[in-house]
Amino acid sequence: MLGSITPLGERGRGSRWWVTAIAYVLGSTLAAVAVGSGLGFLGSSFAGRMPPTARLAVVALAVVVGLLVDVGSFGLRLPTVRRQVDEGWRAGYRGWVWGFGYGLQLGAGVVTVVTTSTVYVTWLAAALSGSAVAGALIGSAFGFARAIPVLSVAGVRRPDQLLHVDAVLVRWAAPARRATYGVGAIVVCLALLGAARW
Amino acid sequence: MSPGMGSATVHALVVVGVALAVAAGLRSTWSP
Repeated sequence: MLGSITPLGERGRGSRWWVTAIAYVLGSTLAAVAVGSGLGFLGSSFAGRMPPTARLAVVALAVVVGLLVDVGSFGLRLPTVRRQVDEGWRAGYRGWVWGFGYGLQLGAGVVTVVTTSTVYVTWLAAALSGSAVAGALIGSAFGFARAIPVLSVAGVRRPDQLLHVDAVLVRWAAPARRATYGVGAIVVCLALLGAARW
Repeated sequence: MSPGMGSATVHALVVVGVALAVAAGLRSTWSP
């Protein structure tokens, strides 16, 4: 995705990169806030009746199960849609339109390919918060974090720089995966600590 | 469960949820 929104590409399409990038970040954040607050609102009908310990324990358990699925334990595979954003939009629409549209889809988290169980557990936490505001906070963190790496390609103005970005992405894929597992482990500890308080 | 306890639970879930959200968001950068 990062290689799709670069100053090099936008110059070729006659668009301004910063406009497309801001639209993308905005779209992603708005979509995630909408999903998070919606789930928090839906969760308010049942989460409040669950004991605090149970809510945190469910999140901790979901993280553990999710990470087991992520590493392919027991032959399990992460359920996901196979859909991706429509590449044709980039040629057919203005930069800010497709940037915003891509952001909306990617910020929702689950309408394009899902590569990590933490996406699902994030939305589970939003629902179990039982609050539209709390869900919106969680959503905004997801949508912003999902889109903000686009700034890392702000300096890509030549084809060789784009190739370098691709190489960096490949190089960082494994560390990013391990970092996700690490955060998952920390979250489990936090959730269990929180649960133990009650 | 007291109202205060419910609020603390929401805070704890927000902390956990935001940590997960940032990890999930950044990790998804490596999506196709």
